[in-house]
Amino acid sequence: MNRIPLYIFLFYSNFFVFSQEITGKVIEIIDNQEIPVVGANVYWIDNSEGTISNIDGEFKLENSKNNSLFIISYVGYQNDTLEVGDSVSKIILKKDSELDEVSIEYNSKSSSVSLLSSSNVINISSDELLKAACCNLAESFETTPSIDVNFSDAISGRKQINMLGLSSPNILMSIENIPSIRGSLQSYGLTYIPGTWIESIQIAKGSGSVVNGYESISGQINAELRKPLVDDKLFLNLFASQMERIELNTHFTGNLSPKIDYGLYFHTNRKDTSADNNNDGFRDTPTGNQLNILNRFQYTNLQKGIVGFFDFNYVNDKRVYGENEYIDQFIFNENQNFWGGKSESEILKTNFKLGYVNPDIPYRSLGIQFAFTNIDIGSTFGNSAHDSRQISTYSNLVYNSIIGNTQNKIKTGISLSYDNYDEFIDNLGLNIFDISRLEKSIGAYFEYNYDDTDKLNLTAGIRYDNHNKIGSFISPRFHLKYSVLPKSIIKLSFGKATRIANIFSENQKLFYSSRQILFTEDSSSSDFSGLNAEEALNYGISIINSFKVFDRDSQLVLDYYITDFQNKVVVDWETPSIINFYNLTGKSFSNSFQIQCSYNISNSIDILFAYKNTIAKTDYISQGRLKNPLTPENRVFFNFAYDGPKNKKGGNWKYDLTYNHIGKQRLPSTLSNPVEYRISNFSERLNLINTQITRVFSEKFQIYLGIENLTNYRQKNTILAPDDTYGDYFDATYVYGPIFGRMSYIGLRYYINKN
Amino acid sequence: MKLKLSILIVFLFTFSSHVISQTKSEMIFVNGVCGMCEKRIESNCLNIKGVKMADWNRETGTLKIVFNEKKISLDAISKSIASIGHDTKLIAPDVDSGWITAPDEVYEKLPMCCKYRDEEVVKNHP
Repeated sequence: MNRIPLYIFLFYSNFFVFSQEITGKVIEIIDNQEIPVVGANVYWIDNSEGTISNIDGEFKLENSKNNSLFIISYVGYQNDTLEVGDSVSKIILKKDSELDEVSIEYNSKSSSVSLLSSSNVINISSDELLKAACCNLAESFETTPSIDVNFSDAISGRKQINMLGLSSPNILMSIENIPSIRGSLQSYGLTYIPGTWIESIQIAKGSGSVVNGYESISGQINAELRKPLVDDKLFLNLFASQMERIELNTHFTGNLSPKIDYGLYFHTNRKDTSADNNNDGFRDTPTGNQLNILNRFQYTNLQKGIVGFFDFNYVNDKRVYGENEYIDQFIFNENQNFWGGKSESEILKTNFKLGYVNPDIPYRSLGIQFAFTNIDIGSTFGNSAHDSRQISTYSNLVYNSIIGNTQNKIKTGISLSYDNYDEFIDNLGLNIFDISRLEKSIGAYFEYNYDDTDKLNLTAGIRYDNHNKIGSFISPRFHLKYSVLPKSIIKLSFGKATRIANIFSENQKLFYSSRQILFTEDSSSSDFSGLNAEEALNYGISIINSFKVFDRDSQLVLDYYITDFQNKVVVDWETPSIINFYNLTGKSFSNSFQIQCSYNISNSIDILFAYKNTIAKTDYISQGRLKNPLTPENRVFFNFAYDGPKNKKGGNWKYDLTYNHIGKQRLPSTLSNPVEYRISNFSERLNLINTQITRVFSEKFQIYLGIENLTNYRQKNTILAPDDTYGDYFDATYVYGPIFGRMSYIGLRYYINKN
Repeated sequence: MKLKLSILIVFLFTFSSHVISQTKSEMIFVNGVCGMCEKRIESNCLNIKGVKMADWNRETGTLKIVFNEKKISLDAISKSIASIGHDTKLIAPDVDSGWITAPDEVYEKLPMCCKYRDEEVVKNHP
């Protein structure tokens, strides 16, 4: 037998905070033949955690504690210490009697983790977010059938999202699990989260977890932002659209010390001019600009099991909207001839989060979240105005542990929230409402999860809250997952949610009309405090079937959710020139059915088809039970995605096409208007196509080009009485489709990876 | 209310640290190939009294196990895993402790995809 050099090939990869691992292969060369070494010990010097090489001589060593030194030992060889790092390329391992060579090669790969939970959670990765223009969080759902992206009104150019037939205030929206888009931010909050900052989005249909609060009526959307530790060193994105909108996003990350990383995220968009493609005399979208800065600090100490974040966010946003001739002035525009207005927002946000996990006992952990937000939004609309200032703090303490073993997990904690609102409304110069108020609550929760590690996974949670406006109330939540067959899963959910409606921020579009605000059917009363908290039960069932068609992966998902309101603040648009807010007296519900089928045609082509049927109705005081306005009963969704083969530089072509059919929607009645200001009771059916092509030149550089509303559909009669904007019938809220026709855009992305 | 909560939290932590003192976290090597192996190994361990957590990594073949030393020993856990068909080995820094091998008749009863001693089967699981 010849000399026996022992080769160990190591592949070092650095992809996830908690799952760094190195892989390698141990081989002996006997008579010029590679023979795998089975059973060589590989372990970390610090804690002796390790592994042994398998039948092929291969091993993977988990680096859960950020170790850097490890040992390879094998009978007949002296132990040697190796270091994880780029500087190492060759190490000599001494055999007991002679010298042998060990060469080490490094390579990196990336990986993602998916979780099987009892709740119905859809994960949107950052790759998915690149499929559409996706300028901000509101536009991030264009390729996701579970969320509808709708046009809000004919003035603000904003898009609104719906889930299970209910609008976004019914969805608990959190940023990294801190409830964020709430209160005064219900109006524009989604546009203050730039798309490029988002790492991933989790959508939980139906009732959410008790951990994040009592507010999720139809579901929860959580957006995870980019983390400085794993984010690109430099990222640059430029975007320009046909609507003269330009955007700039830059990310810059680095480290202050081996344990502290920082990220500086900068976003700005501006639009100086605005076209009026539909010739209604109004700008199609507002002009204005936004400056948005986020500074993140991340502390990571894996030896001690501590991860912490400190974030600081500043937003300054200014929008001017209205008639083409309207000129923004610094003085109040009461006597101006043209209708218009401006909205200025300034937001200051700081978050602090700290998580502790004992590395030896990973099932037990403690987390603390703290957020402080100062919001100042001032808007004028013709001769109406809305000023909203809000100071909020939120804190949450979560403790995770087990009972007996990890089949029985528990989560418990307390949360505190404090919201001080300073809110004024001037309604058409007729009425002034001062609805300044203080809302505070303290809550405690407990959640139990049972996992039989095979078929059954159930989560039962309960929270108790004491709120100064609502009193004490209990929110139970229940989720169950059962694998009927290995590839067929059934999920059930039930939950109760409570929330206080923030009526003016949530229904901001009422200001784009001459509607007079009333708080009951009785016009003499204007008592805001008579509105009760909203309360709803949500039940859901979901069936997920995975199977192969022609040996290709396919998935069929069927789900049905019922949201049943016990109380609701009914927003009654049914009488023109009036908007009425009152407590629900009968029933209000939304039943939503969805069938979704995805199929992987080839390695580079995926298709997704979905059909949705939503029956949402509310009992109005004078009109009786009506379908909720602007809620389509039928929707069809189709998505085609192509992600072509990569060349040597990592470049390829990507193509994405989304088709949306939106069925008829009921519009609030205009029957009592003069004939010239009446519109049909139902919207047209819409067929909308968005498409985008991306050329990835290398891992560093890509250019994308897209078209929204390819069929150039343009809604007619978006504004009632555009010629008499200060009259009784002016109304820009009857919007169900695109108002500005086809829109093309172009953008580039440039990345510099760490290392 | 707040006082009661803080007492509860302090109690929880004192209680936890008391439990931690008897809790031991170890890594052993368990031979296996597929997702079915993972389920079998983990649920077997979780059914042993005293075992709090069992997490087998299919790629590395390592089992992270957390248990109460007073109720069960690592050796007994290893033997229990071997008794359901999976060979185990302690990851010992200095001494080669050798394999605890599963009885052949139990191994033979494992489903085809779990036959980790068969090179062909291992190769078919990337």
